[in-house]
Parts: sequence; C-alpha cells; structure tokens
Amino acid sequence: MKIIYHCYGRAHSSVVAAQLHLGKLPMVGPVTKEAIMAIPEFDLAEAADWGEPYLVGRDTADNEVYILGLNSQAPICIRAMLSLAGHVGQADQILLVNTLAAIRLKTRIGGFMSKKLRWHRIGKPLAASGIISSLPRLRQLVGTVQEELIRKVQDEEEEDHCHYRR
Amino acid sequence: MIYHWEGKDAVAPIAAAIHLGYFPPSVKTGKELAFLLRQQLPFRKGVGQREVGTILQLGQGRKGETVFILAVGRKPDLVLKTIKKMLPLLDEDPTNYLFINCKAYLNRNNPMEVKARPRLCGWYNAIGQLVDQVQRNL
Repeated sequence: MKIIYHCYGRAHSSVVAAQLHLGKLPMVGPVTKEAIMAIPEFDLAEAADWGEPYLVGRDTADNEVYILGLNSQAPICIRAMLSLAGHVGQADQILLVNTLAAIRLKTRIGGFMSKKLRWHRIGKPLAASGIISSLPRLRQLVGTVQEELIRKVQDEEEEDHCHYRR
Repeated sequence: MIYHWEGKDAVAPIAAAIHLGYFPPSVKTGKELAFLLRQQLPFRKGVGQREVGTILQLGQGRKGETVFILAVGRKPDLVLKTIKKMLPLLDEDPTNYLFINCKAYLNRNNPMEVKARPRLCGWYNAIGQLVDQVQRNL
C-alpha cells in the first residue's frame, strides 16, 4: 500500500505527517521547534519538486509513505491520480491524505516567507512554530490514517478467510 | 493514449471519436460536420469544472490501445507531471502512455486556416490529421 501525504509545497505539513506516520516523531508528548527544523525534508522542497511523490520511508506494516506537493492544483491532481489508479486496477493500493487542512495561518505565513519571499531565516522557524501548534490536529489525522490501514488489513484477512471457507 | 485539452470544448472528445472510428477523419461540408456534431457524442460540450482532472476512458482502438480523454484545465503542466510521476508507483510503464496535447497541435498547425475558412471545416479536419499522425506512430 502507498500512503501519500500531500499539501501545497511538500515542505511542511506533509513532511511532518509522514514523520509522525513513520514514528520518527512521537504521536504523544511535546516536540520542540528544533526537532521539527532538524527533519531533513522540512522546508526543503521547491516548486520544481511539485507533482512528484517523494518516498520518505516504509512503516512497520511495510506500507510506502510518500509526500507530495500539489500547489493550488490539488483537486484536479487528486482526481487525476484516483482515476488513473482506478483504470489500472490499483485504486485500493493508494491512500491520498490532505495535510493542508490540519495546519493554520502561522505555518502558511512561515511557508510563504521561506519559499516565496526566500526569507528562510524568518520563515522556517515560523513555519516550525506553526507546526507545533498544529501538531494535535496532524497527530489526529495520522492516527486516523493508521486506524484506516489496520481496518483495511483486517477486512482483507476476513475476505481471504471467507474465500478459504468456501 | 490520452488526448488532453483544457476541457471547455470538444477537441479531445472528437479526437477520441475519430481515433475509435465513431467519426470519420475528415469532413468536406459544413452540413456533414453539423450532422456529426448532432450525434450525442459524450462530452461534446466539454466537461464541468468538477470533472477536470478525471481520466475518462472512451474505448479501445484497433491495435488494442485504450483511448482516454483528460481535461487538464488552464494549467496543465502540474497535472500531467503528477500523472506521469504516479505511473511507476502504480507499477505502470510510462512508455506505454502517450499524452497528446490537442490544443497545442491545433494552435501550431491550423490557426489561420480555421479562422479564414470555417466552412471548409478546417478545425475538424485538423483534429483528424492529428489523430492520423498519432495512429501512424502506434
């Protein structure tokens, strides 16, 4: 299974969500701004990287975890990805997760300053600080994704069992 | 085989229809064209905003190639890049996919003729020529 966390620029919220998913950031307890800023992919991606899924790692269930920036074209790109996956018979093998809804204005302003205005020294810490404030929502989102993955595995096992019994 | 266009008119749907053989590759009179355009071709009037980005399968060509249309909106680059980059993730070989930019072809090959001689159906015939080129290269 491929889990794709997507946001605007693939530099902030999707990066942190992927780190939470992979267990590189804790799902409970405090996280410092420095820890966020130390993530290799944090505040890194540029416009040229948009549209290209980037593999961050594999989770404990061997699911591939990707991050993806879709700029303001997210609805169109998501429809394209889902319809493509459907046509090739892989619709059940990808999970697209929008992380943009979990963050607030502070991260957006920080990201804008860092990526658009190129004020990295102000923008990056501001974005990291915004991420800290949004961490409960990001954790909740990642938790929901992980529950969904467990449910899916259970459903598949149940289906296999039914086939076996027949 | 993905014919893509902005989504507002019938360029890609007509290209797909010609490719699949529903429509002839060229027309000689306005009357003939008018008859074809009355044939309830799917997406004849383009797609709605909510369908932009959805890859629509219209059929299968003579050589077994699947024919799709895709409305990409006004900024096609990111959508097309995303699709192309997704293909390997879905265990698909990107070289098996051909993306045909209908609007770019029409702009490059026939803009003046279309405007100057609308009665000769230059617009439709230019789409026919595009499809012909695509089919020859299959």
